[in-house]
Amino acid sequence: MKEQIAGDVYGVDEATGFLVSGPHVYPPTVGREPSAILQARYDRLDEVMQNVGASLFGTTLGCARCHNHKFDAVSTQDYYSLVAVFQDIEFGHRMPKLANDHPRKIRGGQLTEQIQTIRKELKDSSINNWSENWVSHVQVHFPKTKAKFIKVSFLTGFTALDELEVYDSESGGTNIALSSQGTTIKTFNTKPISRKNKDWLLDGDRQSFWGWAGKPIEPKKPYGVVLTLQKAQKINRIELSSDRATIVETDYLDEKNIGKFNFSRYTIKTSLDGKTWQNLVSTETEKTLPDVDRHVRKKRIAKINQLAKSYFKEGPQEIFAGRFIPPDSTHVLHRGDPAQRGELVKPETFSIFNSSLSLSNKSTGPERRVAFANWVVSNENPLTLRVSVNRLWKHIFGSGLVNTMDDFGHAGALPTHPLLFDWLATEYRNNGWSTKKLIRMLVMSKSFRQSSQQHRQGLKVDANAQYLWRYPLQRIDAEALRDSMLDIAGSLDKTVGGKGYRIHANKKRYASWKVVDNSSAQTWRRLIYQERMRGIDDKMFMAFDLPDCKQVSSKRPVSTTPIQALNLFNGDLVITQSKKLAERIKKEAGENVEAQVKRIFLRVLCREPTAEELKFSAVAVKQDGLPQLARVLFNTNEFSFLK
Amino acid sequence: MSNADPLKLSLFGQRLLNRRHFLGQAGAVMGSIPLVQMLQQESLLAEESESKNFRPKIDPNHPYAPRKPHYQSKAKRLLMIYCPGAVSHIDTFDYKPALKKLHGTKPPGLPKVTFSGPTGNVAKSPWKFKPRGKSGKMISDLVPNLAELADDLCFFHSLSTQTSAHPQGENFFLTGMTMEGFPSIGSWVTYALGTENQELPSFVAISDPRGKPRSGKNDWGSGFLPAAFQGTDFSVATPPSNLSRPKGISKEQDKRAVNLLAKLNDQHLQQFPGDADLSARIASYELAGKMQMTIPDITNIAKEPKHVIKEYGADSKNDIKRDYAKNCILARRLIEKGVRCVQLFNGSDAAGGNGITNWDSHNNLKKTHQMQADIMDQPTAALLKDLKQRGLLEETLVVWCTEFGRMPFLQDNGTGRDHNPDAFTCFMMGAGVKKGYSYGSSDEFGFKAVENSMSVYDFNATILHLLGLNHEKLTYYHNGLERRLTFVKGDVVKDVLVY
Repeated sequence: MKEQIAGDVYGVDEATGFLVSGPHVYPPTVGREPSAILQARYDRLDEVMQNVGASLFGTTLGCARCHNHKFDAVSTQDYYSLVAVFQDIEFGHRMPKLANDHPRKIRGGQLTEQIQTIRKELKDSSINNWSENWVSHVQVHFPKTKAKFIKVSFLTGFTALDELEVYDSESGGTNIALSSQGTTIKTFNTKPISRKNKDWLLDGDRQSFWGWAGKPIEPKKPYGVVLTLQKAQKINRIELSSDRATIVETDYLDEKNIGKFNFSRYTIKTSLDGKTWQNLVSTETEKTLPDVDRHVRKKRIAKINQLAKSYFKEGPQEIFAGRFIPPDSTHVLHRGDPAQRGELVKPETFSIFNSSLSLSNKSTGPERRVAFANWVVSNENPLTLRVSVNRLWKHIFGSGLVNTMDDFGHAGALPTHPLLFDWLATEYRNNGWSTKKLIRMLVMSKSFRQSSQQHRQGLKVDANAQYLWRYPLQRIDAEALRDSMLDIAGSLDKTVGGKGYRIHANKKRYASWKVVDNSSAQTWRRLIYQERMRGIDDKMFMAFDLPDCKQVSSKRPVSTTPIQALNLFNGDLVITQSKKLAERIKKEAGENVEAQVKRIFLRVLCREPTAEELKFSAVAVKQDGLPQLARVLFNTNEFSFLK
Repeated sequence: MSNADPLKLSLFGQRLLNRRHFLGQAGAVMGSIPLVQMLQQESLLAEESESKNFRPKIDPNHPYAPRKPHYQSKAKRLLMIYCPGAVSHIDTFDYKPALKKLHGTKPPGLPKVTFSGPTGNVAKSPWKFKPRGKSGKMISDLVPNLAELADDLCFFHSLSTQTSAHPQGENFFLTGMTMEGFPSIGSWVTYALGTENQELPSFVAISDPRGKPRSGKNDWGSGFLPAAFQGTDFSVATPPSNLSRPKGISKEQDKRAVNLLAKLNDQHLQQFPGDADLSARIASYELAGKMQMTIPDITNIAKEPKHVIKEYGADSKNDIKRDYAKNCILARRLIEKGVRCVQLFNGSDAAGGNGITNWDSHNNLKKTHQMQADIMDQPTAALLKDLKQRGLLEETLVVWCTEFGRMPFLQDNGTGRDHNPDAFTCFMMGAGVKKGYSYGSSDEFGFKAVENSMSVYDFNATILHLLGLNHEKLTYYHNGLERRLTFVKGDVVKDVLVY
């Protein structure tokens, strides 16, 4: 839990991904109006608040974005104080800090070593500058050069860039071509293109939508940009890209759509006074080389490009786990409107608990989140512990001790077993928040192990069995349904962790997802390993209330629909698994039909068939084969309900 | 039920006679059934008295059973025709003579930057406006067939929305929230009202032949409502998945599998007499079986008479128009069969705002809007006329809509119109709404809604009202809140109602 809030500090960098897992508006669709941009920022922060509120506190924090909570002690001050805790989080990619033994880090190291060897050869050759294709961007390498002015001339008819990055060779190689670093930009012989702006090349944002594009005014003449650095500095690398941010983590894109740029031929010159220019790099120099040298150089660069492509796929990769920005000051926003700033607040937790995070508005982002994470698991916070226990209880018994999983406030339900609930929470904490120990305790309880059988007295007093006089009959969820089928059929790949499986096809950038394979052998892993595209119907289990991954959901509805019946009775997965199961049973029980029927009942329903079931099932197998019986058993109520 | 004594038959046999009737009858013998039902009803009543909201009571045995609206209404069914990409109101139904006067100028007060960037000059509509019908409503030549229906339509000219981006705009219009993951209007309606025809899905979303709309399944998704109320998406060209019998299994074999399943389920049910969840699941398989018959039948447009095919344009040489026209025929057939909610899309996901796959005309408005109108106009108008002629409008509310409007001035590229969230036009037709009526108006340029300006919340509240539902009382408890289609907003536009 602490890692999800401040994984960057605890050495589990990826964990902050959960903070930014909510849906958000992709910057290009926010539009250009400043008010819309600010609104979108607070919408994203609200997604963080909703995730935090629902998952850790069972509280509807969202209400207090606009007004004091109607039922619970959450004021707008509380809401914005919590927003202040997360003010350094912005939705986006960042390069995670990987442990030295992380496979990506190891692979990246190997590839870098190989690349460096070839670079050295290039450095020592007759032309000591060159350009490398890093799939998401082009790296231009050249010997250390002191420059104040940098002129990039383009030689082909149309150019589009998202950023133009210039790396200094002194202070550890940082990009100094940023407006924030005092760098300015001018264009020459350039016809501007609508919706593009030269200043966006220096904004640090690697989005093509916030980029520059141009064409020559005087045709066939060089055109482009001149950067003026704040002071003359030593530089040794320039990076050019057309759409760099979009190209990370995009192994789902068609290969042919990546590693391409909206520029090809260019010349880069530098100057110290803006008058005398010195050639730095040109894509045209190669032509001047003798054939043999050109051939060798070409081969070397091609090798680097190939290694860079492997690095892009196998080396450390940026991940969508949020990026960190300097925390802005946080104000209460009147009626939730970012234009109506009210009282200034500092990062703090709910005022009702009378505890303080001891932070100020000068605290850094990580300081804020660490203080908050510590408070979440401290004894001063009574909620999170209970919310967790309740959730685990729900998974075991079908409904929570507090039935409103996500509302522990006044409008929520009271616990059915308050003393038990409190005792469990204490045990959980004393056991160091061990989920495993708690689950063991629950499944070994008498309540869990009793039967689902009804009796009159029980029905009379408590028809829904919320007081657990019997184990309530409950429908298994989509994951359990699918994974059990695969497991029973003997097909389930039980590999833990690693890359998930994919049911959709690669696509062009703006195309919709298409589900192309929801049943072949490569999908036979547990459903939690399925790569889920928000809102895409898998044509199979979405009908079984599998969440669409759009809004936080602490409790799924349980539906019964004819579409479920169609999917489960006719879907490819069920048909293939029925065949697999039949093969398995034949191996285990031999050719005798009655033995097969007994075995398959045991496998699917965990019991022997009754005499009558045995009789008519055997008839069915003789007539239509064992796979048919498997298909039917997978569709029975008995298989879909836990008792 | 026959005269056979139900208790002398096997459970399977009883089910074959009449399962539902049986469960009601057998209660006299098997004491626990009425008790369970009674207790369940009591607990529902208790819940109800504690709550000020009117959550519909869903019988798990029959989630689609028709349910009473909050109050009597003319409209029983909803047909929503949605045009993704934003149809230009000032080039279709919202006549603005001022644009002609100011054509090519840049009057003060208009913004320098809109959604897509810098703005250009004011531009008159490339299409001629003419008075139509008895009402003399000015409608452009872009939609000549719909224009003929002027006297039947009820226009809303003063709509405004919350966003100038398509996905959010589409979400907002169809789910009441700009963010994804909230129940669509169709799922709210079927959650409230169930459906009349138990042999077809209660809510059908018909995608455009070019593909799914920008927000995809979110437009007909059930969000946090039970999945039972999500729209089923199919069109004439693409049947629902898993509808047909698996390959290699004959009709007879399939039938025997169905019977075997029913037998096993009934044996199991004996251990839990009267368990509503179990019998609901049995019922869902029966309904699925019926759908396997009814859906292929209803999507088989070939059975329609030639003159109908012609009228809709389902014989057009334009592939997209032809397939959209077929979908229009499908929509009519579904409404005819009593499907509660039909959503029909004209346009798909945007391909970078080029105005080809949908109405998003950032470039070459004249060409691209014409291209869209050529597809949409005739089939849609034929659908509306057909509904009218068959008397289906007596009980059907038709809504034609889009996420926002377009700007009275061009973009700096000089050929396309940018998004306009502050003024746009939609229309309704049919049960419960005035005919030949125009509500509200935008300013002289069609730039901002001025008279009787209304939100999408108001529009959606009005749709629910027309279907007999109080938008403030139709709620679902999720994440600690009683959620509504209209958030905490929305006023019914009473002006357009016919009593």
